Amino acid sequence: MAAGELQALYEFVQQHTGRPVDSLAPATRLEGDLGLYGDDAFDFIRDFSQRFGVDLRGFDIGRHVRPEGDALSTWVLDRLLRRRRTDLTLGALAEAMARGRLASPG
Amino acid sequence: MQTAPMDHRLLELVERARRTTEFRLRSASGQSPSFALKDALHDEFSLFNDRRAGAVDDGTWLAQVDEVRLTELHEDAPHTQRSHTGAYVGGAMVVAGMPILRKRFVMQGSAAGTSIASKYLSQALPQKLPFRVMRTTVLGRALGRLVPYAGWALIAVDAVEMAIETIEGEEQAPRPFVGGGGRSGGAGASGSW
Repeated sequence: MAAGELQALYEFVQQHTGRPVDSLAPATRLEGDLGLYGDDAFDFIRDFSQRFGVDLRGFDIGRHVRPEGDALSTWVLDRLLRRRRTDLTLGALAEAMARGRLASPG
Repeated sequence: MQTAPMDHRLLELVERARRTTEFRLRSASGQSPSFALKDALHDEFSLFNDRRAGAVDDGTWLAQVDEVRLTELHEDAPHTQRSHTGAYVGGAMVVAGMPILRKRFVMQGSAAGTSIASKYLSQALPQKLPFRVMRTTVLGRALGRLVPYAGWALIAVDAVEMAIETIEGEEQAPRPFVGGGGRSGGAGASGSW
């Protein structure tokens, strides 16, 4: 993971969320730490893709952050549909920048 | 001194008969209100006479009712015409806040769930807030995220109102022959029925 890519990503995150660069790390999670979900996460990933030229084919945002909706409905739907989400970290985004492609596992 | 309690007792019996009639008419349609009230009065008076005979034999009896003539009937409107607007609006708000719409980055592959409320409110109110509300800085999106919670609140309020009305309705329904001896004020009536 190149330090230059991480630094550029941190600055992008700061512009987008207002979080200071020195509070960010490769392990920082998009939803868990930055509080991005639903349409906010969608806008973030779309802007990230455009800014750094990352191909999003094969990436399913619904497998990483929860959609819009109240917590109760989301919780019930997750259990009914047996949906599981894996955290998306800044480290994974920096790797995607290096590869030029962001894909969900599996 | 003895007429006042007796009058009061008589009014109590008539009121209980009225409530019993109301209850019977609700549970069995097609019955004549006049006959139902007469039956209920007959039951109450008989019960009173029997209990009084066992307690104080002073020769005071309640005569049976020959005829009941009803001149006016009132429909129980509040129970039959209750509005569930809160529940309907609340349900619609919850659905409007659910992620039932899909939006995509590209033509194939990824899709994100968004809600009707968030989509249209953030289009109508795209202004950025200087602080985060509901974990977002977009005004319309914050309002859209509040919509389903307001919906759940409306549903909860309606459910509580319905529960209260049900409990009140059950409390108003008469309970014939249950613990009747305890409140009679009779001299030593045991109240075992």
